[in-house]
Amino acid sequence: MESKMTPLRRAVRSPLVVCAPLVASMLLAGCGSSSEPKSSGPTNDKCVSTAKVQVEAAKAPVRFTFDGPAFDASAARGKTVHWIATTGDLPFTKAVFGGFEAAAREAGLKVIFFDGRGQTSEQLRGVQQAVAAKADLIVLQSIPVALMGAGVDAAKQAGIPIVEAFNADSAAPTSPGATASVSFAYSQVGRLLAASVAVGSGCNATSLAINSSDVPVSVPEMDGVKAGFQELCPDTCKLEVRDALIADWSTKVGPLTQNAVANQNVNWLIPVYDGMVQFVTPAVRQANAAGRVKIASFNASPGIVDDLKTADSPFTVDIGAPLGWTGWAIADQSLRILARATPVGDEKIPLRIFDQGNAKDIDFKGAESDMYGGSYQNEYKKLWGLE
Amino acid sequence: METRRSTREASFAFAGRYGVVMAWLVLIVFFGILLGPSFLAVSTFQTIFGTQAVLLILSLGLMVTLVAGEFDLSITGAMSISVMVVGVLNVLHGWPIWLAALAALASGVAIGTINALLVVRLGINSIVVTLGAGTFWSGVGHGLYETTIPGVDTRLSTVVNTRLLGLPLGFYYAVAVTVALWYVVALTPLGRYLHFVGANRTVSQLSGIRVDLIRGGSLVVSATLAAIAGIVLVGMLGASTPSASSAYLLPAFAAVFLGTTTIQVGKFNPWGTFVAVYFLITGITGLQLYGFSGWVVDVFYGGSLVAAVALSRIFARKSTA
Repeated sequence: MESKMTPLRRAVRSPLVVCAPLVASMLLAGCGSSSEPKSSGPTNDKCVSTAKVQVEAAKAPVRFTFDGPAFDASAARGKTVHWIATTGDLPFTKAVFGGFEAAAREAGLKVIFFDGRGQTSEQLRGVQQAVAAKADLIVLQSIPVALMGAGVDAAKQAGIPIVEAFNADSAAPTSPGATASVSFAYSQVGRLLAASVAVGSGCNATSLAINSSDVPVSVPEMDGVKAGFQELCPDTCKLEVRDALIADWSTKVGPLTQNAVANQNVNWLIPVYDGMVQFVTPAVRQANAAGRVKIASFNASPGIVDDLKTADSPFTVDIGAPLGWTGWAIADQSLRILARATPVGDEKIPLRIFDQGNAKDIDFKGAESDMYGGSYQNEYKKLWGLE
Repeated sequence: METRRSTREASFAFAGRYGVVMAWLVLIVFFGILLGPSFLAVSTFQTIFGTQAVLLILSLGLMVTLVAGEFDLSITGAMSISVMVVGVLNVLHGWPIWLAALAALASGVAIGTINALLVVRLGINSIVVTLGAGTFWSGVGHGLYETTIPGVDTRLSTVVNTRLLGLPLGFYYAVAVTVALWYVVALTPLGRYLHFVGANRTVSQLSGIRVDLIRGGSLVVSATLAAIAGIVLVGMLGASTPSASSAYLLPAFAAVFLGTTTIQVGKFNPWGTFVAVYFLITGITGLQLYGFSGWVVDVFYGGSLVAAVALSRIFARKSTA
């Protein structure tokens, strides 16, 4: 019987066939690059003092530094803006859109929100629906313009401008297909993370960054971290980068953290978004590494940033940008386009470092101004000619 | 008395058969009254019909496996590979777009063949095989390139998005697949064999039908159509991204099962699937234009499916009572 088997059937029936996925995984994993962290070197006083200056400046309450130019926003009154969100269930989206809605009310814009539900197909449908509804302007929030091919083409044909938000670094040029962009200074976030780690480790860090490469803005943020270490402590700060896609955060970030902290030299973890921290912190504790390993991250998300106040928490640094303020910045850019003024290159959205030092005096559950300081609504209204 | 009874039974049978079609029309009238011109505008219907080609092609492939009594949970994995193969080969390796699309199509055939060998030759349950294969191929898709690859040859977008009578060509490809599958499933001996195998594998075997070939073939067709859906998706997006495909799995199953409640009640059928896809998107578009967002999509998808299946069962019982 066995001798009558075809080679293919024999191959398929062979127990070795179960090794195929394993081999494939190893081959694919082998395509990525990784390097073992090297042992850290001596403390560098100059590095620490330079990093400390950067960190202390960024810990202070923020100020409105955006200087316009001013324009008459009344021409935009009554126009309709369609906001296509990458997904509506993120606190981030709700906070930014909340700011945009408030600004739009002041300027007399009508706003329609479309929840892209984290699905490219839905987001594309949202753009096409906005074009069909003859929107005056479309905001693409955290959705790459390059992924909305048919939608962007349709908007272009219909003469509908697109404002992209959070797709690249604030200093990067606007994507082809978009009229203007609004974003955070992600590379500066990365530099501030590096500076915070440098200060916290005495410029003697063996760190692991947990990247999320499916989020395009992770690229400038990671570049900023690398550049920051290169400038501050090229010989004594080691950085290894691992990756966990958003969909895998809940399953991969914990095991990845435990593997990383098994290396006794690792003393800092840098998950690029603080949504990962909820998986990193328990893994550090389970590995009995809370005394040795500290965590620095970005976003200062409501509910997560509060953990900075928890005694003995390894979560030490969280960098944030005021989200309601950011919504007003997107409204500013939109109004400029609708009122036929020239859009600006950078809305200069400020960043603030929160750490265990300043967190104890900040009410994270209060108003955004309690957390970041600064005032912006009246400043924007002055720029728009509404005050 | 007998005449009245048979008329009543016929009405219930008609309601069971065309219930979803009628519900679709009612939905259009309802939102037309509620929203007026913003819903009844030609552009709204162009959006409704023009954006679902990918889901329809994917659902039709899935339908073939379900007719044959198998499950294919790997369709989005196969679609993901197809999407990434087009982007990687065309943008990163400079292959002509037609060759990249052909390679993507071949990837679908290959994935379907592997599924078929595991299910038919090794006798593993298709749910288990395709669940694992779907996850495996999605992972490979991310491994090929972890993020978006923009700049796919615009000729693919032209082939998918060029408008004919106000609708993109992608819509007509999906209609062509629907017609082709309707012809095969409803009007050819192969279609009858598919139904026989799906209804009773052992009896089909004893009747001389090549059951293994049909089961395996259905899995190959399903993965191949998933690959075609992937190529159409790249054309719509103008880019490749590994995460775009995963969201299609549940809507595809919802459409195919909802399709069993209409046209050929109780059977997986292409026109039923077609009606289901556009019924669902009409309701969702109306609700979104009314101002709902996010959660309402899930509520409408799930609620419509359960309600349609339940009503269809009730009408079927009444018509045979």
